[in-house]
This record gives sequence, structure tokens and C-alpha cells, in this order.
Amino acid sequence: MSGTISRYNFKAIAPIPDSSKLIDVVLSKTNRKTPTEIRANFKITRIRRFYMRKVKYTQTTCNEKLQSIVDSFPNLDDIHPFYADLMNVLYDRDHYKLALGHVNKAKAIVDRISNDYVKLMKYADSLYRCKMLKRAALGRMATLLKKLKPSLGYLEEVRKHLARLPSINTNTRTLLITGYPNVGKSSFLNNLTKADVDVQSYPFTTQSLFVGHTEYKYTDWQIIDTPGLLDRPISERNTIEMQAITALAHLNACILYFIDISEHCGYTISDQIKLFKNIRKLFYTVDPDTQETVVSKPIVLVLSKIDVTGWEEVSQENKDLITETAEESKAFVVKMSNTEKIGLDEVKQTACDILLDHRLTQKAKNPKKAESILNRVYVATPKRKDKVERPAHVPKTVLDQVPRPNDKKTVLEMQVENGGAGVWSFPYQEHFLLEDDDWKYDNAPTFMGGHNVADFYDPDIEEKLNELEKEEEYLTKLEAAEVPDMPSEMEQMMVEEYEKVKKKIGYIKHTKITQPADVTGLKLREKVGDKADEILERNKQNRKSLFEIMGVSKKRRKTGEEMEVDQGDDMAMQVDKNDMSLRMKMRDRKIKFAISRMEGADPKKLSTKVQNKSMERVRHKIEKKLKKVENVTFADRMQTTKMPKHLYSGKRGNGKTDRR
Amino acid sequence: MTEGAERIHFENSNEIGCFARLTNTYCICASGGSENFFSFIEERLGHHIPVIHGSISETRLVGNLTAGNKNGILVPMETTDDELQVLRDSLPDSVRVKRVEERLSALGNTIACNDYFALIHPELDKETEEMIVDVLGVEAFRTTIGSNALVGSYCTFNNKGGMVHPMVSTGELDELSSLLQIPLCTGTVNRGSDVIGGGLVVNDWAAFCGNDTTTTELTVIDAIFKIKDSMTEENEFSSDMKGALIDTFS
Repeated sequence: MSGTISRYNFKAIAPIPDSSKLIDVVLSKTNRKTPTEIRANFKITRIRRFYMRKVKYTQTTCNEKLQSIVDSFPNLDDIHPFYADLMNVLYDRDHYKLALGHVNKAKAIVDRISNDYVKLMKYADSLYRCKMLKRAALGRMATLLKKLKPSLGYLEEVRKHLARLPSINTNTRTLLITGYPNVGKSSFLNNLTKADVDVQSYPFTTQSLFVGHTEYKYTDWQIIDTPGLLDRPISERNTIEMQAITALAHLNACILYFIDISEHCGYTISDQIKLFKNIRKLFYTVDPDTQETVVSKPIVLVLSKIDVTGWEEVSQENKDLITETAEESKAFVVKMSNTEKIGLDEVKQTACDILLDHRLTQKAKNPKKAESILNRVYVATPKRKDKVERPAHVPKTVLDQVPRPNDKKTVLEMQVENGGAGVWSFPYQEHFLLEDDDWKYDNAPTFMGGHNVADFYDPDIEEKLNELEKEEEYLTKLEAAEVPDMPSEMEQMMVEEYEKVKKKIGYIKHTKITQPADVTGLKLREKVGDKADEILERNKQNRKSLFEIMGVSKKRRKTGEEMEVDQGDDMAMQVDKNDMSLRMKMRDRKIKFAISRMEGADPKKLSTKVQNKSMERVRHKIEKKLKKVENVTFADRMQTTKMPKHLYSGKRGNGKTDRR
Repeated sequence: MTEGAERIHFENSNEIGCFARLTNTYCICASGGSENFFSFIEERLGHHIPVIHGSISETRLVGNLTAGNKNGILVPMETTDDELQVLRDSLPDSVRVKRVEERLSALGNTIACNDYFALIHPELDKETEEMIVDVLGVEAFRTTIGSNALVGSYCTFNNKGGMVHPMVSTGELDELSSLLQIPLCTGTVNRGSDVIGGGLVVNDWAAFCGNDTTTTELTVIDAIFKIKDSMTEENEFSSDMKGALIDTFS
């Protein structure tokens, strides 16, 4: 029992109906829930079934009702011995069990009645007989319920009383107050808790158990006030006293035995000690190991009413008696007064501390449990393994308790101002801790030319950049130091030549645009023979003259392409090379066609506007075609379906929509 | 210092340890839809250390996926270059940021560390261990917490004290404590959750835990991590409350 948390909720028992009401409930339910129409000319099987159903339905409802009553009451063998004994004292165990037994038995009888009459009904040959049998069955059941009247009445009384019992937790930390009547037990409870127990000057004011709760060391403590006890054998004790005895015997609590040292309660100190010795037997248990009787509960002897009679005024004889008794039962002695509120806390502290100690020692006896509990409160403290200091790292601003600047907005505030969550998000850059705050919002390249910049990150880039900058600075200084001289004659000439070359290039470009390119001219040669040669020759001349000019100029220019030229002869070779490669391309019929169109168009003859225009068109057309092939990029990549399903798959079968 | 550990949630999740990495020199928070979580921390720590937004491989699990202390922070290989750059730019120069190539990429779950020691998952790569020692400037120990290999999830500690999974035995607790040279105790967060790394972020002067954390749990956190001013070396746990506390346990 001790392992489980036992909280009994006796207040939840549903009210028990008395027998006449129970009959009403059962019969009216049968009437409501079963069919009511029947005719004599119906088939006899149907009539039988109709009435059988009524009987059986009444039986099940009866059973259900009675079962719920039996189930709602606690079984005395299952509950905590304290409650079992308390119920025995209050309601008489035998009576209680008989009443429940009576109800339970009625269930079986109802079953039997129903079975009997259903069986009989099988032999009934008319509606009338069936009806009479049903009447008899229901009547007998009703009589049976009527006979339950005294038991049900008793159970209802028990239920009412149980609901009013204080809810005592049998497992928690408990202080139990006991002693002769009128020694100040209830006053003590009132002083310590908010229980508000009735306190009067006559004995047996408290007639049942009362519970109050107080707090000590951050936990709840339950204090139980019991009715006063008289010094007499247990067989002579009345119900009121027996409640106290039950609590004393079964609750694992700290016993506060109150002794009125002023003897105002009407009992002498020796009488009170005698009673203590009498009830002390309840706390003795035999130690299983040593076979010795030991006190199994912590006890405090509370000497009350010291405001009336001080401890000094007590006779030596009584003093000795009290101390001696306390030593015998390993009890603590505490003095206090309820009216003057002296020593109340001391009593509470002593009682709570020794009870706590007692409970912990009990727990520690189970090593497995003790280990698991200790685990939860154990704090491992390390032994220094070396002399290295490992201080905590707390910023100075924290130690100085520097407050947050008032004007600084939180990100949340900013978010609210800028449209709320989901609309505005905080820019990462705000966090940046850079050398210069102006850099925060600079765009740093992440990708360049399809490459991830971070992959090419050079950790020394900063150094290298600095070096370069230094060099540049140095060079500019040097330059500044040198006096710039006048442009020399040579240079002057170069500039002039350069201008000439530039002019010539412009001219070439122009001819390329307005006339068929010399490339086309080359192609032409094959087809048109002399004419083409003529054109080619002219072009050659043009170029030659250009390179002759270049040959004069001292600066030799190289283009990225094939224009590595020193002399005019080389040039001719170059052109021939071009010629060869172009000849290969001549297979293209389309271009041939374009060229054949060109045949008729001698540039010399292209005098009229119309002719010019048509030439332009043809050229444009060719260029367009060439462009189409040239300018295809990856963006034009296209993948068409090789075999469209709908064109290649056959007809569907009947009722088939699945092509796969 | 501060008032003690505080309760907070990240978009209704109590597992705030997944969404934040708090150390003595910086705090990285996940950027959520609303800025409640961030601002809560920012208000308390923002004027002492940089509190920044961050993400790891486009997730918000900065706590799960990173391991760090005042000296540096380790992020998994999955971290994008942009995210890494943001971290580098936002964190103080004294904090080293390093990407780690590691199979067990949830570094926050597999590494638990303070500024001097780190407990690491027994199966971490040797290279990773070297990186931990180098970047975080700690001594690393391969160990488990109560036979659980995810050391980062099941324990949390700062330079003053630490808390581990409740199923750790007293012997193991002593062992860990002498390894880390700080007091350790078992405990829970978020009303009995044993995933301490998930429900609690802590540095030497501040602690934040999930919204469900009970007062008792908060008290234990304050005491063992010595977050509160009033918590001196002596008075925690040695108080006379201990007996009553044990009595309430069943």
C-alpha cells in the first residue's frame, strides 16, 4: 500500500435511490425502451418474443443499477487499513458488508427470476398467458427490490457520512494530535492552521477527526486533530475515541501527545502519563532483525498550558515522571501555550523535523529506491585535477550592470513599425561588425562569371592588395618627380601615322558594310573567274596600302586575330590560306545560291537606287541565315518529344483508359 | 548579474536550444517569422555582446547544427558561403568561424562545450576533434551521457556548472564533473524533458529555457549555473530544504 499514492475520493459516490424509486426507475425504463403494441392475432412466436424481451430488459436494467451501487462503495479489503478500520468503527464492518452483500445477492436472484419466466414463457400458448407470466416476473423483481429497502437506506446514510469525512492523505507527512479531553489539542490545530475547529471548555467538543494543513520547509504538512481519549481498555472505548485510536494505529505520523501540566483539564499529570503509556503500545513494533520491541513512530510530548502553570511550578515527582517516560519512548518534550502562543513554532519544528528524519530513514532502507532518489538531488563537485585557473568569462558591462540604452529600438519594434511579421525582415547587414560602418551595405560579389567568389578567396588578399597599393603609390611619386618632356619629333610622327591608320580602318569598316565583304569576294572568284579576281585584287590593293602605311610606322600593332603581318607578301599568303578554308565551305548550296544571285550585281553597275536596295535585301537575307546558326546559345536549347505517345500508341481496348 | 534564468519560446516551440547558440561573446539566433524571440534575447544581452541573426544551410537550427564558445564557432559543411560570410562579418574578430567536414553534421548535438572543455560524441572524426581543440581552444573528451552518445543534447554546461540527463548515475556524474572541473547535477527542463540541450541555452551570466519549465526546474538551473547574484558558492543545495525535497519524491 505504501508505494502508491492513496487518495480516496469518497465524495464522488452517487446518491443511492430508495427501493420504491428504484422500482419506478426500472419499470418505467422497461416501458419506455421496449415495444408496447401487441395483438392477440399475431403469431404466437412473435407474442412470446415480445414479452420475453420485456422480462429480459427489466432484468438487465435491474442488474445494472444494483451493480453500480455495489461498485461505488469502497471494498474494505482494498483500501488503506486506516480507512478500513475507521469505517469499521463508524459504520460497523459487518453491517456494511451485509448491506452490500444483500444488494449483490439481489442481482443473482433477479437473474434467476428472469431465466425461470423466460423458460416458462416458451410454453405459453396465448397472449394472455404470456402477459400474465410477464406480470409475475416483473412483480417478483419489484418485490425483491422492495426488500432491499433497509440495506439501501443504510448505504445512503453511509454515503452521506463518507462524503463528510475529512480527506486524509494516508501517505503524506502527518502530525497527529492526541491526549486527554480539554488539554488544548483543537486550539493548537487552530493556531497552526486555518482548520477553524470548534473549541469549547467542556470535554469531547471534538467528536471526529479534523484535518488542517500547514507549510514547513516549502512542503505541505497535514495535521490531524483527534477526539480526546480516556484511560480505559480498548473494549470499553466508544466510537468517538475509537476514531482517534484508528488514526494512532494506522497513520504513519508524528504523534503529538498533549499533557496539560496545569491539570486544569481535570486529570492529573500522572493520569495523563498513564494514558500515554497505555496508547504507547500502538506504536510499538517488533524489529524483524533484532526481535526487540521498538518505537515505530516519532513522538513529541507537548506540555501545554504553561501560561497557567510554569514548568518550574510542576512538582519534582511529576517532572521526573515526564522526563523518564519521554526517555523510555524516545520522545521529545516541548513546552507551549495556546493562549499566549508560546512555543507553537517550536512544537511544529520539532515534530516536523523528527518526522522528516523518520520518513527519510525509512526510505533509505530500500537501497534501490534510495539510489534513484539520491541521483536526483546529488551534485557532483570536482576535485581539482590541475592548477590551471578556469575563470568564468563575464563581460565588464555585465558586472557593472550597464543598462540598455533607452533610445535603442529592438528589432521587434522595428518590425512592427515596418509592417509586422512576414512583411518586413531584419537585414543581416545591420549586425555586421566591420572596420568601417560605411561598408555595411556594400555589395560584395558572391558569384562572378559563373564562379563562386568564395572558392577563390585568398586569405592573403588583404596583404597583397596593400602591397600593390604601396607600389602604385611609389610609382606615381616617381612619375611626379620626373619632369615631363616635350613630345619628341618621333612621337609627333607616330601620332600622325596613328591618325592615318585610324582613318584607314574606318574606311575598311565602311567598305565591309556597304560592299560584299572581301570574304564573299573570295568566294566569288571561283564562280565568276576574272571578275572576282579583279575584286580580290582591288581589295588586296586596299589592304596592301594599309599595311604599307603600317610598315612605315614604327609601332607594330597586333590584333587578337591572324593579323600578324610584316610585309605585303605575307599578306598574300594569308589571304590564300583564307581562300583554302573558304573553299571547303563552298559546299553549302544555300550560300552558293546567294552568290549566284550576286553574279548579276556588279558593284560598278549598281548605280540606281533600286538596284542598291535589292542588293541590300539579298545581303540582309544571307546575313540573317548566317546569324541564325551563329547566334544560337544555350538559351535556345530545346528538347522536343522524340516519340509523342498519342501518335505512336495504338487504340485503347474496350473500357480501358490506361495507356500504360 | 541577471535576475536568473528566464522562460521563452521560439514560435511556440519550447526547444529553444535548437534555435539559438549562446556563448560568452556572442549569441546567434534563428531568424523566424516574428522577431519576438530575437528581441527578447536582444533586450537582455544586446548591449553586452553581439546578438545576431543567422542560419545554417538555410535552416533555422543554428543551435543543433553549430558548436561554439567564446573563442570560436564550428559550422557544418552544409553551411552556404553566404551564411558563412554573414557569420564572419557579424561576429567579433576574436571569434574564429570554421566549417567542419563531418559525417555527424549536427555539431550542436554531438558537441557540448564551455570555454575550457568539450564533451564530444565518441564517433566524431579525428580531424573534427583536432578542429575542436584548435578553433574552440578546449580540451576534448570523447564520452557519453548516461549511455547516450548525443552529448550536446543531453547536457549543458557553462564555466561555472552544468546539468546532465536525469538518468545519469552518481558515479558517472562524479566522473564527468572531475573531467570538466565544474559542479554537475542531473535535472530536467520544460516540465520534465530530459533533452536539456534542446530546452536550455546558457552562458556564464544568462540562461534561457523553454516556456514549460517549472519553477523548481528554474531554481535548479539558477543554482547550478550560478546565474543569480544571490547564488553564492555555499548556499545552493546545502540548505535544509533537501530533506523535505527528498521526502516529496516517491
